[in-house]
Amino acid sequence: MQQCPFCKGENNLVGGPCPRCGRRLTEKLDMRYEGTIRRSQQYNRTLIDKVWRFFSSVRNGMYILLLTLLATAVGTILPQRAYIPIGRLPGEFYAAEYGVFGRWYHYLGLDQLYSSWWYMTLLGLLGASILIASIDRFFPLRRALRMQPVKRREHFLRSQLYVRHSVIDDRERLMKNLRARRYRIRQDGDDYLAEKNRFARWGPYVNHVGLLLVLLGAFLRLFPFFYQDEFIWIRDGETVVVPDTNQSLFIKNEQFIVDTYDTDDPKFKAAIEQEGRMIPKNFTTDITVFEAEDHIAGDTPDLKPLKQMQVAVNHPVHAAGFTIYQSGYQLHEFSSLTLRTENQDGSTADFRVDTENPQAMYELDNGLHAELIDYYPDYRLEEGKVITETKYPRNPAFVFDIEGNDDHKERLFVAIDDVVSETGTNRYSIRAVDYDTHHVSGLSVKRDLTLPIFLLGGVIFMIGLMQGLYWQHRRIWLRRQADGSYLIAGHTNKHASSFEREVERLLDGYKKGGSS
Amino acid sequence: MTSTRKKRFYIRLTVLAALAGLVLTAGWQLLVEGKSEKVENGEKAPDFMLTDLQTGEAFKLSEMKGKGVLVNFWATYCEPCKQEMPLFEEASNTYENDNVIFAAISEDESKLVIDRFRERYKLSFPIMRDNGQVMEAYGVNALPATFFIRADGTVSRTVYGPLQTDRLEDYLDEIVP
Repeated sequence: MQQCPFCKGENNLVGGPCPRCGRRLTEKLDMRYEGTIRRSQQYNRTLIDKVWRFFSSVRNGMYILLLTLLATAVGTILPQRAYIPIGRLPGEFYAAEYGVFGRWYHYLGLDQLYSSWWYMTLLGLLGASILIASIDRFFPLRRALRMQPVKRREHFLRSQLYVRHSVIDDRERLMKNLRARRYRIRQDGDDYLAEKNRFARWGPYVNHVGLLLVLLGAFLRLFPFFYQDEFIWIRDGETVVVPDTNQSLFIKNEQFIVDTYDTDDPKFKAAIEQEGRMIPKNFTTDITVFEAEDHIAGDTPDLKPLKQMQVAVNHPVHAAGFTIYQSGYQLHEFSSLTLRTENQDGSTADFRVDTENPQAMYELDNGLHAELIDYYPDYRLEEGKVITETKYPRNPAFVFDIEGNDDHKERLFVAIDDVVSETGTNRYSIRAVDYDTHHVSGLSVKRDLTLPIFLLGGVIFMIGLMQGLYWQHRRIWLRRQADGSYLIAGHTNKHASSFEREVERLLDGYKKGGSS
Repeated sequence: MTSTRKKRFYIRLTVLAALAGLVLTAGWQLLVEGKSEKVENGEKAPDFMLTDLQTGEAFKLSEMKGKGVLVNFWATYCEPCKQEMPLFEEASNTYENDNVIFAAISEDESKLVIDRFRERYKLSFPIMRDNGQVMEAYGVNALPATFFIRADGTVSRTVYGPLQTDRLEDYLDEIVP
C-alpha cells in the first residue's frame, strides 16, 4: 500500500489516479519506507491504537525530547539538594542563598528535579517514543525490503530519482562489473535487481537500541542494588560506618598522606611562590575495610577486617562490592593545643589540651590549676558573643578559670592567636605555644553496576550511527522494454550525486567495452 | 478485526503495558528510595546503645520496652536545638510518672561541651553522645530531629527540624503506654 501525497489517503497509487482525490502521482516516490505507509497510519480504532500512534510520531518524539532537554537544563540553574552543604535544611538554605527565586525553586521541587516523578515520566515517555517509533517503522521496512520483487512496475521505476534508457547486449559483462562494485544481483526473467549495503538501513534502529539501553541504565540507577553513592570523612586513626549499609561496613583511616610539590625543584619553584602555599601533588589514604554483624548503632562494633589497602587520587580500590575513591581532604585539623601559663612569679608551666575531647581540670607544675569552663571547637564571634560554628576542632578556643594558691581566680579566653581576660585582671597569663594537627580524608564509597550498561549502550549507539552514516543502501533495477532496450532506474537512501556518478561510470565502462 | 490486526493489537498492548510498568516501577522506587534511609512512622525504631553522660550507665533502646521514648538528635552548636532543651526538661518531669523517657542524643564531639551545656540548662534527663552511628541508623542528616517511640518499640511520630512547641504534649500523650 502507498500513501497519496495529496489527500494522505491509503491508495494503490501505482500508475493510475488516486481514487479518492482523483489526482495523479507525478512527483518522485517517497522511498523512506519503501513508499509503504507506516503501520500506525493504517488504522486507528481503539484507544491502544491512538496511544500507539501518538508515540510513533517523530514530531511528538521531538516535543518530548525538547521538554526533557528543557527540564534537564532547569535542574542545573541552582545546585541540587544532594549538593548543598551538609547539615543545612533545604527550605532554609535555598531561601537564604538565592532569595525568592530559591524559595520557589525549592517549593516547586526543582531542587530534586532529576529524581522527581515527572522527570522520570518524561524519560519514560522518551523511551516509549523511541521504542514505538522504531517498531512502527522497522517491521514494515524489513518486510518491504525482504519481499521486494526483481520486476517492478514501470511507473515505480520512472518515479525514481535516477532513470536512464540504454541498450544492453552483453548483460553478463554488465553484471560482472556490478559484482565488482560489490552489488548483489538477482534475476527474474530478463529483469535484474542489483543491490548493496542494505544493512545501512538498519543504522537508525541499532542506534535506538543503544539509546534505550542508556535509558535502561538510568532506570536501574534507581535501585540501590545497582547504584549507591556515599561520602565519608575519616580522621587519621578513626573508624566510621559507611552510610546505608545497615551498619555492616566500616572503614578505618590508618594514615592519610599528602605529597606536595618540591619547593627546591627549579621546575616548580616559581609556580609555588606565586601560589604562596604548598601545592598538593597527590594524596593517599591507607585504609582498612571492616565488616560487622548484628551491630547495634552506637555500640563498639565487633569488627572483622576484610581488606587493607591504599586508596589514592585516580586509583580507586574495590572492597565489599563497593569502589572507594579518594575524593577530598581537610588538612591540619587541630588534635591538641599546648598552652603555657605563667604565675605572678613568672614561672611557667605547659599543658596539653586535647581538642577532640578535652578534660576539665589541669593541675600545673607552677602551682596553678586551670579549669576548662567552656570549649568552642570552631569559634567565631557573632554579635559580640563567642559561638562555635561546627563540632570540628578547626579553630579551637577555650575559657579557663585559673587559680593560684591564694584563691585569686582569673577567667581567661584563649584561642590560637588571641587571649582575653574576662575578669579584667592580669595576674596570670596563658597563651598557646604549640599545637598538633591531624588530617581528615574524604572518601567516596560507590557502587555502580549500571556503568557497563551505559558503555554498551554508547557502543551500540555509535555502531548504529556509523552503520547509517558511512554506508548507503543502493539499488539498480534493469527492466527490459518491449523494444529490447533496458529501462535503468536507481535508488539510494542518501548521497544521490555520488550514486549517480557510480552508475554513470558503470554504464560508461560497459559502453567502452572494458570492465569498469 | 482480522487476525493480523488482532495480533498487532495485543503486541501494542503488551509493549505499552510493559512501558507503563517500567514508569510506575520507577515512580514507586523514587517514593521508597527517600524513605528507606529515613525512619518512618509505624516502623520499628532502630536499636541503639550509648552511654548516659550523667550516670555513666549504658542506655539501650530495646531495654526500654514498656516505656514510651522520646529520642531527640541535637547539638550544642545548633540554635533551634538549644531552644527545645528547656521544654524537654519541663516535659520530662511531667511525663516521668507516665513512663515516658527522654533520650537526647548529642552530635557534639567533646563530652565537656555537653556536660557544660547540661549544667547550664540544668537538664536531668538522659543525655548521650553519638559517634555518628545512631544518627546514621535513624537517617538523620539535619538537626534537630525528634522521634516519638511507643512502648512496643514502633515509631509513633517523626519530626525533622524544630518541633512545634505547642504540639509537644499531644505527641507525648500518643506514646504514653
